[in-house]
Amino acid sequence: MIVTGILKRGEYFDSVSLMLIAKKISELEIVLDSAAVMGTPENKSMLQTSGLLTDELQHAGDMDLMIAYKCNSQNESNLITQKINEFLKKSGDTDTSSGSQNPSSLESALKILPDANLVMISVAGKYAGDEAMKALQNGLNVMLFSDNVSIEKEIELKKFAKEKGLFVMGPDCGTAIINGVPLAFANVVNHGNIGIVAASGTGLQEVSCLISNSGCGISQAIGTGGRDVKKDVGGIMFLEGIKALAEDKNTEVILLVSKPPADEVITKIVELINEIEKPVVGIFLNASAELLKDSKINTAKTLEEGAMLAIAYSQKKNSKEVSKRINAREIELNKIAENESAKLNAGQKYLRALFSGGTFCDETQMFFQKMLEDVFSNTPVGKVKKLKDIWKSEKHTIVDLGDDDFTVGKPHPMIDYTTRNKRILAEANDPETAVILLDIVLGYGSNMDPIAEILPVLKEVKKITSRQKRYLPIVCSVTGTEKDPQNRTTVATALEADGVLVLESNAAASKLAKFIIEKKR
Amino acid sequence: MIKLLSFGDHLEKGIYNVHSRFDKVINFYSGKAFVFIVNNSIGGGPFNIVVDDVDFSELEDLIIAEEYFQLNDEKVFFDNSKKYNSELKVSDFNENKFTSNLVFFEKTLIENSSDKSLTFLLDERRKKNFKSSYEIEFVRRFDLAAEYFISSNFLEGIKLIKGVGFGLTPSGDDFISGFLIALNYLQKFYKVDNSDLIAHVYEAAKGENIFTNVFLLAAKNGSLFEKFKNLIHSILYSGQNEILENTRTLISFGETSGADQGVGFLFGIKRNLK
Repeated sequence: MIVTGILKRGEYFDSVSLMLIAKKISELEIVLDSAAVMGTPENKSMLQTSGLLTDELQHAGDMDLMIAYKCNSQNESNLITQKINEFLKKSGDTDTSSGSQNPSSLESALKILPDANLVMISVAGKYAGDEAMKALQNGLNVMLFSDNVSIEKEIELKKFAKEKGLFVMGPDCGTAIINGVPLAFANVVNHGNIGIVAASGTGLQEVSCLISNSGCGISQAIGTGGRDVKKDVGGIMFLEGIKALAEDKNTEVILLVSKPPADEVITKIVELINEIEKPVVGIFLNASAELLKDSKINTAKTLEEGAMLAIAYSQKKNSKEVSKRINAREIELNKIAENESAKLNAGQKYLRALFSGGTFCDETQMFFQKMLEDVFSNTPVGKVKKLKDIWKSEKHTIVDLGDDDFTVGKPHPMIDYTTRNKRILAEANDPETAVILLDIVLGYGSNMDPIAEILPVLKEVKKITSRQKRYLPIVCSVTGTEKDPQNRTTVATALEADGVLVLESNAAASKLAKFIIEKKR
Repeated sequence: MIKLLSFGDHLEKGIYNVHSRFDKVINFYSGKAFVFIVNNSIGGGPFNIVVDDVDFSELEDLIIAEEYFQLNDEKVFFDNSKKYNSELKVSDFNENKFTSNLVFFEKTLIENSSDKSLTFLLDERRKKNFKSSYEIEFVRRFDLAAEYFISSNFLEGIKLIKGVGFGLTPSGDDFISGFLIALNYLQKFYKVDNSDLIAHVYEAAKGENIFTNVFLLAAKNGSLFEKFKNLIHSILYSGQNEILENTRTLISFGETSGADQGVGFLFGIKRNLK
């Protein structure tokens, strides 16, 4: 066994970078043991106790970085050192080699890109509003990724933007595709004639991927942030988005995606749509059908149905075919559910849905609403009940792990699977769990290697359930496209090879989970 | 043009050079004192100058004078209305409210902090996140140190943990600075005199790490950085929503630094409650 020490004199890394580097080193399969810490005498003493202190590291000072690792051979050691140098370079790199720069203010960014017309803002919420106003005053459209911006500030920004003929996407806007460029959490989709306005990030990702995977494409996808369609903001940007798509010559079909807007906002949307010639499809999850019934909006109950309707209009096909296809698919899902439920033990009766996408959490609750007494969520919709303890499931539990309560101080679960992986194991250990329902969202912003994150956990689930003489179906939707850096087929195939039931949409996955449970009852 | 948002109440005059550079912070060192040039997401502090409209990558030289500071070639005059007050005034102290809020803070800290933070000292279950031999030794040391702290043998505890851990301010030092803050503010809450103990803890904790020493000194003097000040204020006077928000803000500082300081603070405060 070889112990290697790398000493980086006077190289400072903040603890976030340092722990990320330490994690990456420990994940290298050939590394048997490792540490990456500053060279304080006490850390040196601990490395000594751990058998990781080399001669070179004994000379480290408080302000030096020490990296130590154990492996089996000199060849492995050389390889690991090379990898570590790459990690360190990436961590300290401002990536000037690729031509990109890292401006620290709007002014310096504009010096680098004077012709820019859109700025993405991702700073702490209490400062984000002022930065956005500064951008608008400079004539720039804004994508406001930050959350925790006050409602008053949001209204002020949006009113100002509207006056100036500019867009404010957000606050808390995580997804947009503008002129073919995916922004933040977004997928690489085909260019086409369907324009989207969405007050739901995951909803936008799901419909744009389903459209792209069908061979159709997106002209523009405008995110507004979820609060835009609430009473206080009044849908200012949602309505402006619709108007822009109505005027856009490359957009032939308009697709609207949102959790239920306020009644006043629905009324405004309906009035606006009635003046538009282009076909409009609307998915307002859990909204009252009453308000939409006399409008020109072709309403869909699920994100999948909405995408399919938009595709049908885009291809000038009969929209009634959509419901026929959905019904035919349900027959298939029922057959699968029958097989799966037959393998369950008597005590297995509950769904455990663990989502990284908030809109999926809402959509799935819609399917399970009839089991009213028994459905719980951390973000309940309609009559679903609030979980007493978000970390612990009760009966049928549908959790949004991207909610603020789970993500403080941690990356979003689309990036970091740690929190969900722990929860998957907890659910697998519960003898009452009948189905685990998951989503995997691909694209920019998301984890680049989801299979490496989740497969070890799914293998552990099998070990747990096999020890306890149970079978536990895992149903998963994969939102993404072939052009995404992770590649949807690669991810779906790897999951299926491990026995996961992979579906093309969250609606399909939720229905399958529901059928399995219903057949068990 | 540099926009000054706030400046610390413990800045020392001098000529400073860059010590270390991060995305949102440039640490300047004069040979005897530190000044931190930070953006507004970091917030105020006794040694901080919070600025806007500055390209951090271009900053090289800093001069602090009586009435102004000069970054590279740009001179900015101190405007006293922007002076950050690092001391928290304690006007009245309601022990019941404080105790129940403290319980909520502890719960929030455990639930929200990073896997590798010192919150395993508050919740044993979090020890499972430490796997490598260094990490196992890390947990063993802190467990032992915690026993010393609980039995009021602070100096032995400090020997075990000072300088131990990750980052420029190691976890052990963050814990001790949180502990010192607690000792300091207990004096205000309960009108007790901890000055000897504070001096001993500080002397035992300070070491060769000039950077850590700055934070220990601030904690010794009861000078708070804005995130910690807001947190203590909310535990004293506000409800759970504010505590939750301020805890989240605190633990967003570094991978574990904020959380580790919070754990040290709880250890210090609980000592008095016992």
